[in-house]
Amino acid sequence: MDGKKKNNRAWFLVLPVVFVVAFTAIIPLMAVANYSLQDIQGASNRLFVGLDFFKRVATDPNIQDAFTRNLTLSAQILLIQIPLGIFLARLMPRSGWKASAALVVVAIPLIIPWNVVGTTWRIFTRSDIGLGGVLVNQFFDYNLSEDTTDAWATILVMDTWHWTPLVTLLVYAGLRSIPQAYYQAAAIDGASRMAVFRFVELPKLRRVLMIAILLRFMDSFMMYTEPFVVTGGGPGSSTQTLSILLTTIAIGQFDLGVAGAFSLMYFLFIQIFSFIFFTVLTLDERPGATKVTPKEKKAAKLAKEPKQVRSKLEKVQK
Amino acid sequence: MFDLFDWIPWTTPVAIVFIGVALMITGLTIWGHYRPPVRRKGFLGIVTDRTERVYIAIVSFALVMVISFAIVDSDTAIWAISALAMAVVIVIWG
Repeated sequence: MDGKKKNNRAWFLVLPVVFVVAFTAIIPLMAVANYSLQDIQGASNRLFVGLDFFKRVATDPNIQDAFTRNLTLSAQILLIQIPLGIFLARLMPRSGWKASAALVVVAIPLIIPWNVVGTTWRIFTRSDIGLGGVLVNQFFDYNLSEDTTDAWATILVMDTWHWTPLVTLLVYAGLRSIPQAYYQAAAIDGASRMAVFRFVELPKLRRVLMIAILLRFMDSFMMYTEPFVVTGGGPGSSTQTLSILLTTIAIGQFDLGVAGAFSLMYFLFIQIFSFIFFTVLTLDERPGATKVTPKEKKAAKLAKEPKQVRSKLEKVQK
Repeated sequence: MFDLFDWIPWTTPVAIVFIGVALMITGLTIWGHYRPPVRRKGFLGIVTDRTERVYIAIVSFALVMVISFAIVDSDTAIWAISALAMAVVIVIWG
């Protein structure tokens, strides 16, 4: 510390946001937390049940299956969309009218409402009148309302079509912000295209990729509308995401207590995964320690010594 | 007068938890103002300050409790005490 006290009064400017968030997020969260502990039958008829609903949710095989299913879906979505987004962004022209045209074309899926995307794909994949369904049926038997693999693949392809452009746009913006000098330096060193990508572009894209991964993970882990419209969670429960199941419990069965407990646990897992992603991806940028442990002090001291002295000292220490 | 909180079916434990969290955030903010937190590396392997460790501890506590709920016939009290001990360890040495 430099001994100067920082003026933190600007933080008071955040207060309006705090109030808005309190009304839109914290107070509803309080209501959900209260629901999760009680069995409410009517306005004046409620029974405190403690943690029973949490235990019921945690041991429910349907919810456990939906959790694993949703996690698999999110993992597959990240594995497909992030590399594909980077690939597409690198293909896009960087200047001139072609760049603008490419941007518009890429952005189209992003401005279509979720419901419309679902409905479009519902029709597109029909094996009698849908262009995609009829085409695929020429090569192999495809029916998303009967075959679980077909339904799963359709959801994956649809989500990739809808959301890869987001990754592409983010990466494209990241690529555009890399100064030309880096590429010139790489060219002077005779770096291959692969080396330029690995050692120039990828490190510079770290921040945008972090945002892309976080957004895509959270969105896919909370995915509701598209699978609901296209497959309705079926056949059976093969494409039932956590959100679809939660809605069925809360609105279909009107089991608000169980739904409340489910929501809180769902919220917890999104928190955990996002925190892990965020921490791992920003490890290099995290502010360093203000207090150094004795071991680190020793290592830092050693690093300052000339090379020959250092090897000798290391031998002595061993 | 319009009653802001009447529409929520309040229970004492939830009220205690939310008041506790609010007090904790306020307390940490005031503490951080007078004694800026020290960043250091503990057994978690990443550089953290005390507010980050408190956050990690709370989330870990909740995760352990969820795992205990998934185990049939587990004793919630014992798990809660163990999870609390773990949370304290994370805040102090994490």
